[in-house]
Order: sequence, then C-alpha cells, then structure tokens
Amino acid sequence: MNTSTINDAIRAAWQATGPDEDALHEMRREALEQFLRTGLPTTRQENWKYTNLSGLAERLADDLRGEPTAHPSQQKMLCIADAVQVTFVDGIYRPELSAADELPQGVQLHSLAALAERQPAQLRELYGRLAAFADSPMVALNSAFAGQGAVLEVADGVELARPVCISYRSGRSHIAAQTRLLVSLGARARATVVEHFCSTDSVFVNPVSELHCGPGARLDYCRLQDEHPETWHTALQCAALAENASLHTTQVDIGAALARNELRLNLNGRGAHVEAHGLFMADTARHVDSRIDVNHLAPDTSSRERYRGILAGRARGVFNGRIYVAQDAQKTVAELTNRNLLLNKRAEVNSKPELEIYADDVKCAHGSTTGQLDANSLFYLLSRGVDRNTARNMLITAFAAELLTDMRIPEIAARAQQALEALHTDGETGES
Amino acid sequence: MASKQQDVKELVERKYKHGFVTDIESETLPPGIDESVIHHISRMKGEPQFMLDWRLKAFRLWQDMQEPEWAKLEIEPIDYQAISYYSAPKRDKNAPKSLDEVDPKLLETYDKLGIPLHERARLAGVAVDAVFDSVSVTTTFKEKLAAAGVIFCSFSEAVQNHPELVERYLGTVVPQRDNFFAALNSAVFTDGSFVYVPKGVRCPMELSTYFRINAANTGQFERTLIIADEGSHVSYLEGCTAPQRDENQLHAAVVELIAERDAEIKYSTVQNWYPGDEDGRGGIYNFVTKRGDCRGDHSKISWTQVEAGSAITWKYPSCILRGAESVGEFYSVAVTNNRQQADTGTKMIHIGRDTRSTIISKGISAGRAQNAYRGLVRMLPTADNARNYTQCDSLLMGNQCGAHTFPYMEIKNPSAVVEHEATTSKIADDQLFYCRQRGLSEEDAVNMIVNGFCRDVFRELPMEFAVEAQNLMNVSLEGAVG
Repeated sequence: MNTSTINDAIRAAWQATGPDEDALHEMRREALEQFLRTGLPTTRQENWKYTNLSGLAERLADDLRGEPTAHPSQQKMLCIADAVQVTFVDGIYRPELSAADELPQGVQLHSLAALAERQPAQLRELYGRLAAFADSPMVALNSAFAGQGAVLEVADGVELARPVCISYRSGRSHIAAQTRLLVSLGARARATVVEHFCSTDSVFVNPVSELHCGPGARLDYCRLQDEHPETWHTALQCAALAENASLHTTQVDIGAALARNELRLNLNGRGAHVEAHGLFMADTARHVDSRIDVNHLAPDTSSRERYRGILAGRARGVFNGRIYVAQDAQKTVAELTNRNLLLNKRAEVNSKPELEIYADDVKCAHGSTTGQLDANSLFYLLSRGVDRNTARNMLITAFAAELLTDMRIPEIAARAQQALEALHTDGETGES
Repeated sequence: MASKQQDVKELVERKYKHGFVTDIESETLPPGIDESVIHHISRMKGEPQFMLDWRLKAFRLWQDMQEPEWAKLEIEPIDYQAISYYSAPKRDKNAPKSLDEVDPKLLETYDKLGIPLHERARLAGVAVDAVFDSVSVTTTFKEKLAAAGVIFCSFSEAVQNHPELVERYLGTVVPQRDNFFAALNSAVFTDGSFVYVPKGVRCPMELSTYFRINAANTGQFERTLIIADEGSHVSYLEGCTAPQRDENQLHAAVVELIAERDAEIKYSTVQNWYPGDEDGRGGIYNFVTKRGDCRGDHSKISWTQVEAGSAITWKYPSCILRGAESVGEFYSVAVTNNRQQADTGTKMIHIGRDTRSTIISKGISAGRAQNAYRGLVRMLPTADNARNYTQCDSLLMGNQCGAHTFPYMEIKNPSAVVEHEATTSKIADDQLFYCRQRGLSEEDAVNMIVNGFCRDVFRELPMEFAVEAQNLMNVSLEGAVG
C-alpha cells in the first residue's frame, strides 16, 4: 500500500469511527491533518533511530477500522486491593466493569466522553496542554482518534487514599485502542494512579496521559504494560510539576511485539522533585523502547531516574534518557542510571543517556552499564547445589530487586517478578 | 568582585597570540570548485592517473551528499564556490636546496610559532615536516629516519616516490563516501603527511608536523596516512596555529591510521587555531574525520587530543577494533570559551574478540560557548568478551555556557561489558576556598583545579606537548571563573 491509499483509509476510518461533533471536534480534525502530513515516524528521525514502525504502517488502517468486542477475556486481570476501578475495553469505557463510586469529597472521576458532553470548557482546560500533537506523530494520531479516556481531578488539599486503577483491556485482534488520561492534582493534593494495559490478542494501543501536579502536590503514577506478544504499544506520558510538587513514577514493560514508552517531565516550579523508575524486559524477537526526558526548568529542582533492562532471546532493547537543565535552573541535582542485562547471545541493547546543561551551579550525572550475569555469582550458587535455572532466576531477580522492592503497588511487583521468571532464555548464553 | 571583573575584561580583550599574516606571494587558484579544478590540482602536483581518478570519484560522490546537520552546532552556511582550493607558496624552477635558500620570511614565521627547526629541532629531537599552506617546504631528520627504514614525508612526495603504498592504503579506513567533509577532502586535498613504519621497527623519534593556515580564503585540506606494519611502533604529534582572520576558514582534514598485527600508533594533537573574536566573528571551522583501523591482532591505536582553538570543532577520532585483543584509546580535553562551539567525541567499533577500549573525555565550557561530547560504542556480535569504559566529565564556568553529553551505546554481544559515566558540575566553592585559604590567588587556584581536572588526559601526552597543553589551558581560561 502506498502512502496515499493508507492516508485515504485512515481518513475513512476517522470519519467512520470518529466521535460526533463535540467540544474537541475541531482539534481532532487538525490533529488528523497533522498526522496525515507527517505520517508515522521513521528510523531516519533521531528519536526513532532504533525503533522501526514500518510494520505498523501495514496494519494501521485495518486496526483503526476494527470493531470493539462486547465480551472481554478475564485473563491477566490485575486486582489491586481497595482500588477505585475504571475499565476500558478496546478503547471504550465500560461502566459495568468499573467501580468508581464512593469517592471522597473533592475528587472527581469522569469518563472523557461524558465530560466532553457535559462540561466541554472544563475538558478543554486540561486536554492537550502538555501533549501537543505538533510534537509527535503518535500524539497527533491519538489526538485525532481518542474520544475515550478518563479524567481525574483532585481538589486542593484533598488526599485520595485509595489507588485509582485504570485498566485498558483488549480482547480481539486488529483494533486500535487510543485513549487519553487526564489527571489534575490541586495544591497539596495527593493521589495514586495506576494504568494497566493488557491485551489477549494482537492489537494496536496508543495511549497518551497528561499529569498536572499543583503546588506541593504528590502523585504516585504506575504503569504496567502487559500486552499480548503480537500487540504494538506506543505510549506517552507528559507531566508538569509546580513548585514543591513531587512525582514518583514506576514503569513496567513486560509484553508487546513492539513496545515504546516515553515519559516527558517538566519541573516548572522551584523545589519540584521527581523519582522515576523503569523496568523493561523482552524475549524472543520482541522489541522494547523506554525513554525518559526530564526538563529542569526552575531552580532547586531535583530528579533521580533509575532504569533497568533485561533482554533475552533475540530481543532488542532501547533506552534513551535525557536530562535537560535550563539556564536559570540553578542548584539542580539530577542523577540518571541505566543498567542492562543481556541473557542470550543474540539479545541486543542500545542505550543513550544524554545530558544537556545550560546552568553552571548544578550537579548532574548519568551512568550506564551493560553486561551479562556474573559468572562468579552463578558458579557460587551452582556450587551450593542450586540448579542452573533457579540460580539464573535468582540472579535476574536480584538485578531487578532494587526496583521491585521500591514499587508502590505490591500487585505490580508480583506481576513483574512472575514475568521475569517466565522470560524465554533458551539458546546460547554468553556465559563462560 | 572588582578583580574578577578585571580578569574577565582581560580575558575578553585577550588577542590571539599567534595572529599574524606572512606576506608571501601565493600561487592561488580562483575560488570555486568543479572537475577542472580537480584536474588542475592533480596536474600541478604531477600525480599519477590513479590519484586523479580517485579524486574525481570522490568529487562525484560529494556532489550528491548533504552537509551533516545532526551535530549540536550552529553553522553559518558555507559557500563552497567561494573557497579557493589551491594555494602554494610561489617558487621558481630552482627550488631551495637547503634552509638557507628558504624564503627568510617563512623562516621568520616558524620562529614566531616556535617551531623547532635548525638546532632547535635537533635539541628537541623532533623531526618536523612543516606544512605551510598546502605544500611542504622542508623536512628534517630524513636521513636518521631513513636509516631505520621509516618513511616520513609529505603526502605529495609519497605519491611520487611510493605510489604503490599510497594506492594500497589510501581510503581504506575513511572511504571517499564516508561523509560530506571527507568526500570533499578526498577530491581536493593538497598535501599532508605520510608515515610508513616497516615490520618490527620502533620509530627512533617522535614524529611531528605543524600545520598552519595562511593565505586568506584558502580552505586547507590535509590528508594524513600513517601505516604501522607488523610489530612496529610510532608516536605522531600534530599541533596547529593560524593567523587571525575575519572570514571563516574551512578546514576539512582526513587522518587515516592503520595498525597491523602487534603494531601500535599513538597520535597526539594540540589544536589552537584562531577561535574567532568575542562575538564569534571569524575563526576556523574545523571539520575533521580521523579514524584508526586496528587491522591486526594485538594492535593498539591511541588518540590524545587537546582542543582549545577553532570557532567550530566537529571531530570524532575513532577506532575500528578489528583484530583480536586490539586496543583503542581516546583521551580528550576540549575547552571552549566566548562563542566557540565544539561537538567532539569518538567512536569505538568492537569487531574482534577480547577487544578493549577506554574513553576519557573532559569538556570545559566558559563564556557563551557550547561544548558537546558525542560518542559511540558499538559491540558487534563477534566481539566476545569485549570491554569498554567511558568517562565524560564537564566543567562549566559561568551561566551563559552549555555542556552536553550524547553517548550512544549499541551492544549486540552479552559477554561484552560496557560502562559509561558522565558528570557535569562547576568548580566547587569549597575547593576554591581551600586553595585560597592556603594562600593561592584565585586564578592560580582555578588553574590548579582545571589542570587537575584534565590530568588523566595530559599525562597521556608526550612530555613537550604536556607542558604546552597546560600553559594553553591557563591562557584559554584566564579569569573565566565567576
């Protein structure tokens, strides 16, 4: 299929499945035009150098026309104790599978479609403020099609003790699930938000999340990507932090044929702090790309990023971490580490930690290491009578332990641990 | 505070030490480039047919290429048709037979630059193949090197006297199509240095070449080719100064190093070309392709560079570690001040088993300068048990400058171990306070700390260069602390 046939198909899909005239219609049309002009990113673009979406081009038009299923599978459910549950199936909000009642005063949780109908002005205030579709074709694609999503607002000073768990499930092959999550925390507000992606068949998932943290607010954000091994998953989260706000993010990438996750953080206010953790893994011939972009835009801000990658089989991992310090962001402290573990002879990792610094009174550092399991440690365990498989699993778990023990949601840590043990590490290893 | 401002003022007004122009008639081609210019250059140099064909192939490739835009540099558009591609000091049929016959003004220039010719050369124990603009004028210590079997001559002489070596090795490390500037260089290079060290020979002295850009508007296109045959060893020094100019001068050099089995090449550079004035006017554009090929097992190539000059530096001395157990090293200090821009680093391509590489990069940024490290470490599936260690540190002086790090790591072999570390900071107040409290002036304290910061690199330099580099650092950063 050439570009113009694909574009015609995408336009037709947009007209067929695109939501009716509403508050965001004009924006959606612009985003569509933007996407049709640029098309999917290619490996000639620096940000996509190691991640090739040409396979997506072949299926995109079909996926966009896919019909959502009525009966989702119950597999891979994540049950977080005492959580406020919101469920989307194939990108459509399903109130019967959600339990979003009994929220404390000052907390509002809406479906995006419902809010667009009832309070369009309120929606427009949040939507697209952080994720501009001009920046990225994948955001443009999401903006053009995302009529569904969730909006969480927490008023000033309100603490939401229960975690909000948003599950995105997909049940049938060839469908595009493009949703939008908007979170806004008022001054000194607190909340925990979990996004859980799981599909049981080959789909295309392209979500965008926008997280606003008011002055002194605290947000815990966790994302678990547990897609079907043939699913294409490209996600973006953008967060903005006002003064003294603090954000803790946990990213766990387990599944998908191709997974790409991008986290963009703007520390806009003095004293803002970010702690960002990421654990990504892949086996067979899968591809996982994890990126983080931290922009220190105000003085006295700090951030710490810790990312770990585990690659087995013929899998390909990509890590890109960028710390940017603006000229007036003096006294910034930033530290980024990326460690990668290659388990098989044909596994591969591409790591690029970047520093871009325009202020002089700062302390910034990054480190990146890549290697295999330590032969001495393995030998030690074998000599104590532990069989090779168990020994390897112990060492792999130990490699991820620093992140696993820090995970705020124990159910996510348990799922990550389980996935680590299930990695296919058959084939020649590099160990001597 | 008043004294600090004084220092800054002095620094800003510091004139380029080596800024002068020698008034010699040059035989210069009119500006512009087309195939006839290449025919002309080749004819003027009396080159064999294979060289002309090689240049023309490069020119045809270059015409279809684009200037690279990925570097973190702001480059004014370059008009390649406004550059004159050939300039030679005029000489009549009876060329000078000894130094006495050399144009005295030329010798005076060398004196001003402090090049050790005459007795000084002997005292310093350095053989100098001085490139003045584009044609080699004189070469010393030829006999001593000849006795050891080492060929050290200008590139033109090598083409005349050793065409078989040139034809065999030229372009095998940096092919014509490698990149835009390398292709341009391949088409129009006028001269450079050629070194061949035969099997098992340890070169009896350090080899040194001083490059100098002179006539206005002549881009200088150097080509250096160093071949270390099996089991040989050579250390090569390159240092540069240039007269003050208002127009930007383009310098697109290519350096190719080839190390056969058990051979070792050490290549050191001190680069101090005219960096432009405090508003960024003038200054040299330094777009250089340097690459070494560790072809044989157990071979070693080591790059050491001190980059202090040039308005824009675009330079990535690299190593291809093909032979088993071969070693690549890169030690770099890059200093940028005023409006200088540098995007420099290295590439280590590990192909052979048990290959090792070390990268130590120190960037110092002051004034309104931008200083970027860009490096690539690639472990190919064949590079079993390969090892890399990278350390990039940046020092910022003043709040108008920038320091950036862009390391690429591509690892396709699980037994390879890759480590990368980078830090960015300023000179800590407590370090300064400690030195001041021990009675050092602020400037001495800063010099001491900066020299300490660069020590890992300076100690890799040959002795005479290390002293020069240290002084250069002190001059370059005089008063830049705030």
